[in-house]
This record gives sequence, structure tokens and C-alpha cells, in this order.
Amino acid sequence: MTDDQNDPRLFPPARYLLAMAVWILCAGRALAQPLPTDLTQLPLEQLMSIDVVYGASKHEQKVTEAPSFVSVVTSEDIARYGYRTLADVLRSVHGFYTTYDRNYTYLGVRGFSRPSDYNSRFLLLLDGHRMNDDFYGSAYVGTESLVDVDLIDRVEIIRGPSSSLYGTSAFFAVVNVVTRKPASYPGLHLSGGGASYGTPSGSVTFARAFEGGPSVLASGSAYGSRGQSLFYKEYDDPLSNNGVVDKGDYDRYRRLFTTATFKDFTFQLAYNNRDKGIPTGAYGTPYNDPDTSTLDERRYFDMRYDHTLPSGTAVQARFYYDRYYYRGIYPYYSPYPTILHYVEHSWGYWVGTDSKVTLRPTARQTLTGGLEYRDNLEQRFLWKNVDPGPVDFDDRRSSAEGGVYVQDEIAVSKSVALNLGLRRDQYQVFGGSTNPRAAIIFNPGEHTTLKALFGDAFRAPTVYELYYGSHANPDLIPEKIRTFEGVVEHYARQNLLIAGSVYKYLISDLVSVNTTTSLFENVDRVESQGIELEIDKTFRSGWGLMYSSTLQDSRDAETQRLLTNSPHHLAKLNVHVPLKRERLSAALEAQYTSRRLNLGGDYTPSFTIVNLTLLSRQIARGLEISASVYNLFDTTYFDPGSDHHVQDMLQQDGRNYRLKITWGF
Amino acid sequence: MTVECPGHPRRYSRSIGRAPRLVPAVLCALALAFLQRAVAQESASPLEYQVKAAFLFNFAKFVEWPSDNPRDAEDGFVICVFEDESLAQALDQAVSGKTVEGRVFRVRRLQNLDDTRSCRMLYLGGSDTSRLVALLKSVRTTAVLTVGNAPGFTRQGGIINFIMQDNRVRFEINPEAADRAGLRISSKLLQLATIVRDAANLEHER
Repeated sequence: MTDDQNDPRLFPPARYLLAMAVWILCAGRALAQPLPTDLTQLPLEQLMSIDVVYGASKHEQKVTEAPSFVSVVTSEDIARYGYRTLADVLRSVHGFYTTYDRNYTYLGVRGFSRPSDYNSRFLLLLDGHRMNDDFYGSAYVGTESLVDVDLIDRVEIIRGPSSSLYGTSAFFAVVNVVTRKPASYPGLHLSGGGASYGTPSGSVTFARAFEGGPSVLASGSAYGSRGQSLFYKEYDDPLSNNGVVDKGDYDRYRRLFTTATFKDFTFQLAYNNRDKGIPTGAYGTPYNDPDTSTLDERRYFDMRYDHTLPSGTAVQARFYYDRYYYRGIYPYYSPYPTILHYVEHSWGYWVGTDSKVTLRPTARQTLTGGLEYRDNLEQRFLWKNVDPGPVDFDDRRSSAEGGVYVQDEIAVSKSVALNLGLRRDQYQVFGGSTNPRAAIIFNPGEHTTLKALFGDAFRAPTVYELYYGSHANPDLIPEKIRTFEGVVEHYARQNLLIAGSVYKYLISDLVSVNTTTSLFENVDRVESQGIELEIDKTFRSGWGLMYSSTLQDSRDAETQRLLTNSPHHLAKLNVHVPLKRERLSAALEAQYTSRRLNLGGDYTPSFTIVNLTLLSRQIARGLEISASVYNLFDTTYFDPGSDHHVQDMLQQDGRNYRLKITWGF
Repeated sequence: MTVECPGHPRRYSRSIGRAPRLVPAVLCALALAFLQRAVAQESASPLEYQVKAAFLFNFAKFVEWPSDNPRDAEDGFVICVFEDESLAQALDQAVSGKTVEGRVFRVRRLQNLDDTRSCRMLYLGGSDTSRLVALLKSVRTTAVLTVGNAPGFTRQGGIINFIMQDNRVRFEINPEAADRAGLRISSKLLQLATIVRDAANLEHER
């Protein structure tokens, strides 16, 4: 669906204004219309089961109405299970898995995880703000992420393509992180913790909602980890310290996050700086050299205006300024034993705006429409072969992109609803992409929902892939995915949820290195299919139980060969038990990942990891203590390496501990 | 940027040259926002408020007020809302045209708590607990169903309190507080609620 290759112009202002005028007219008309839905007619039990989810349709709706298979992880889950990063959160939901190469954490879902793609096939939103940067498209979820999990109110995980609403990167899933509102986290919170491998951390958060006026939340946190002493048998020779790395696994970050709300305006300022040593000898760097490291810095300013009218018409306008900076230090021998430093820097500045209107022209329809525009003011890449020394390469670009979308939710009858969406994106560099999505949502009974979903999505080639990577190719076009999915959600009696999904994904024009030309090309086609099942039960005594299982198969469409890093089976079990009401609770999670093919052609073995967290609240006023053991049974397990590594598989952490104390007053 | 790339100061010319392209987009977003504002006078009522409003509506059906209630003089069922305009609006929508026991629902916005005589139900917005304690004192033994939205509200003598749990709206009930007000809460409602007792100091007062 790529066209307009020769037209570098984006939506000219006239077209923008016209589209805008149309929406305003619609919105104006909608004001006179009657009420949307009447919740007062629902029985109490059902009122209590309404989940308020935002991301799947860009407005709040019930989980069962979302045109997707959605999971929600709340602040309560995060505290209960001792989640440390967004990666921990995402790993806990069905279909998701992660790969850690001791530098970045990569996400996989439903059998798809490309080695070192920096998660550019996932869209990560922080309070609706796009976190994927404009250089690598990266969406960070490990310690490199900007989000402090303690500030999270909930994480909405929306599986499947959502390019019809969000544009690029909403390829496999959208992860919408919603931070706490100041009113729900009032006062001053001091938190300090210690963990295995010499890892202290701390944070200070202040939140306050002033009577009838502004509300503010400000938080700062810092983390440092000395890291582990590691052994890789591939480096087991005297020239490489006999395979032992005893420095270089360090990890440090500093974060700031502030939100201020006044009337309909919300201002947000966020910053993260993470410095990570690379202990794996990746990229042919000298082994056990602590200078090998990457630094990632992300910051943004976001200004948002939200307004909802009694008729249900909602308007949102957003303006933002973002920045991403990366620095990699890669020492090398020249010749042995002289070590020189190759250093590269890349950064991007971008500004953008989006506006959105949700309206209910009739009682049976919810119409959402929006415009987005992003200007990549500077995308720059710079390197020095010898640092300190002269600059060997310095190039900068700029580009712009925009999108326009519309989504209509129609209640066809009492039990059938349609959700139709379409979005057009236009890029200065390679043209455009049009992506539809359609869902039929059927409620045969009060507690059962069936969904048939169809959707397209795309991922725009990144600046890195187009111009700067060692395989860069300026002729790349967007990758595409087409998906078909059927979902059943049944809320049985006594807090029992049974949900399942069957899906098929067809991916084309996937960017891969063509071995003959040694360039990135839109070569690969992938077919993927699978089923997912989830059972969720809360007992009256407060016990909670959740089990999920994903079975999938993903293959190269031409060769029928299995994809690398694609487990056939994932299973998760979560149990939490209140031992002494809210004073003490225990939470246990077990996660199974089946074997995964690695680049060397062998299999990374299957494993099960068990984590246990004890959480104690209100021993004294405002005091919360959390003690966790991760990898309780000290299982030895591995994640597949990428082509940057000599190792085909990288060993992960053994049994490790964390103690965290939070005091709120 | 000199900090990040020692010895290689950044040149700004390019980005400044590009700025005008932004103008239409920014204008668009702002115009959209402000035009919309001009059309509208009222403010937010997202799903959370709608759900809470629906709960308030339902509470009226599951609570019995004393039969000799002087509040019956009032010709409707009055829900009073103190300091939460968003909820009041959601409530306006939710109860418009509806009745309970033949009485028409009415929503009253209170500026202060000097006159709560007509209120059958009193919703107290705000989350400042110490202030709520003071407010509650003024209505504690009168036949008004107090509903709050703040941690500790029921422990401090409020009758019903909304809590957000796993993204859903739940509620707590303090039966002792209901007794004091002379209200009878149906077992159906009590079953669905988390039961909360008075904080120690309140018990001593009794």
C-alpha cells in the first residue's frame, strides 16, 4: 500500500484546516444529541466489573468492548509481585517474553522477537505520549526505560496491530503505561532498596492535589548496580581473562518525572539517563574491558489539553518536544595489546502535535478522529574511529511525517457491535501507508463476549536502517502485517474469567540483511499462528489465581524454517495469597518458556523461573516493605544471543534478592 | 550538546530554518482545542465518573431511610454533591428523569455544609482526610447517607467509600456509621462491599 513515493509534501495546511473544520462541525452537532449509554440500568455486580481501559480505542472503554485481546496490570500487581521494570510487568502477561543481552531488554510476543530490534515493532506510550524514539524506533522496557514502575497506575497491553489508530510501530502490540494521578498517591513517599549484585536504589516522590486547583506529582529516582562476575566459555582462554568478566556488567540510571494538572491542561516533563556496561564482549570488543558501554538518554516535554462535554464529546490536543541521545563506546585492539576507543553518538530532536475528537453522534455510535504531525528537527549520527580524536563521520537529516485517522464504533443491535478504523500515514522519506482495522464484537449473553478481529499495521523503516547502520539502505519501504484473530472472554460466576484467542499473522517486507548485497532489504515473509488461553480467578478469601498458556508456530513463509527466538509454548502461573489481610501477603509467579532456536542453529533450552514476593503493609503507619526472591530455585537458563555476540546463548541471572522499603507520609 | 560530544558544538541553523513547517500543525491543534472550548461550557465526565454516578443511583435502592424522616418534606430524592463537579455532571446525566419510590431524583451542588437538610445522600469530594473528618462530624447522626472517595473515609465515620481496585470501582461500607445515622443497608449491598469498622477513637466516643 505504499505510494506517493515522489511526493515529498505532507498534508498541506489547507487540507489540515479543512479536515479540522469538518471535525469541529461534527462535534458542534453532536452537542445536541442525547446521552450515550445508561449505566444506571446495569446490576451492581456488573458495575463492579467495569474495567476502565483507554489505549485500545484512544478513549476509555470496558475491556470487553476493546477491539483487541487486552491485559491490564495494575499498581497493585506491581507491588504484590515485586516487579522492578516494565520488562517484569510485560513478561507476566500471556504471550509476552523477553530477551536480555546484558545491555538492552528485547520484547517478544506470540513467538516473534527479532534480535536487537530495540522493540521498534511495539508501540510504547506513557500517558499517551509516544516513547519510541525517532532514530531507532526503540521502545525501552528494562532499566533503560524512562518509567519508574512505582509511578505506574496501570499498564494496558493491547495485542495485535493498532496502526489504524497509532500509525507506525503499533505492529505487534501497544503498551500504554498510565501513571498515578497525584490524588491517588498523596503525600511524600521515600523509598529505598537493596538487591543482589551490589544494587542500591532509591526514590523520592511528592504528590499533591490542591483543593479545586492544580495537582502535581514530582519524582526522582536513582539506581546503581555493580553487576555480576560472569563466565562465558566462548572466551575461555588466557588472553580473555579465562572467560571471566568481573567488571563491566554495571548498570546505572537517574530518572525524573513530573506531572502538573491544572483544569483541563496537563504538563509533563520526564528524563532518564542510563549507563550500561557491556560484559559480553559484543561487537568484537576486548573481553572484560569496563569501558565498553552504552549510554541512553531520553527526555520529553508534553503539554496536553483534555475536555469532555456532557454529551460525551471529548477533545484532546497535545504538543510535545522530545529528545533521544545515545552514545556507545566500543574499544578495540589496534594492534594487540593497544586498545583504542571507537565512539559513536546518535541523537534526535523532534516536536509534534496531535489532536483528537471523540464524539457520539447518536446513542449507538462512538466516532473518534484525529490528526498527528511530527517534525524530526534533527536526526544525527556521528562517530570517531579514535576517541579522543577527529570526527570521522558526521551526518544529519531531518524529516517529517503525519497521519490522519478515524474510528467508528457502532452498536448494531443490543448484542452486536462493530469497530471500524482507518488511518493514513504520510512520510516525507518513503511515502505513505494506509491501515484498516475491523472488529465484530458479539455478546451472546451478559457475561460472554466474542470478538472477530482483522487488522493491518506497518512499521516505518528507521533512520538507522535507511542511512546509518552498517547495512543501511535508503530504498527501504515499511514492513507490513495483516492479522486475523478470534477472541472469547467469559466472565463466569464467582469472579472467574476464562478467555482465549486464536490468531494468524502474515508479515511481509520484513527488513532483514540480504546476505549477497549485505544490505537491509524488505525480503522476509513470515507466517505465524497460535492459540492463547487465560484463566483468572479471585476467591472470596482474597486469594488470586491466574494461569495462561500460549501455543504458537512462526515460520519463514518461503523456506518454512522456524524463526529464531520463537518459543512454541509459553505458560504463566500467578498466585497471590493474603496471609494477614493487608498486613502481609505472598505472591508467587512461575513462567515457562519452551526451547528457542538460536542463530547458531541449536536450541536454547526450555526453562521455568519462579519468583516469590512477600509484601507487608501498615506495620507502622505508611510503611510498606517488600522482599523478593527472583529465580527461587536458582535455575540455570539462557536467552539467545544476537549476531553481535560470539555466544549463541547468554546465561541469565541465578537466584537473586531484593528488599525494598517505602515510607509514605 | 557540547557536553555530549566534546569538541563538536552543535549548529542550530538547520532546525531554526525548519520551524515554520510546524506552524500549521500547532495552529491546528490549538484552534481545535479552543474552538471546542468556545462551544462547550461544561466539563469532564469520563467513564469512571459515570460508573460512580450509577453506583450512587443504585445505593438509593438498597438503603432504607427512617420513615419519620424530616427530609421527606422535600418533594424529591436529593443527592447532594460537595466539591466534585465532574461527578455532579455525571450524576445529572445518570439520574435525569428517573425516580425512586415515586420520588424524582435531584442533584444539588453544595458550596458548604451549612444546609444539608434536604440531602438524602451526601457525596463528599476531595481527598484531604482530616478535613473530611471535620465535615463528617456535622452530619454524623443525621439520616443522611454519606459517600466519599478518599482513603480512610469509612474508618473515620463515613458510611460508604469508593475505592479503585484493579482498575475497577469498588466500595467499602461502615455498618456502624449507617446505624448511627439510622439507615438500613440491604444485605445485598453489604455482600458486595468491603466491610470497614470505625477507627478506635470513634468507638470510644460512643
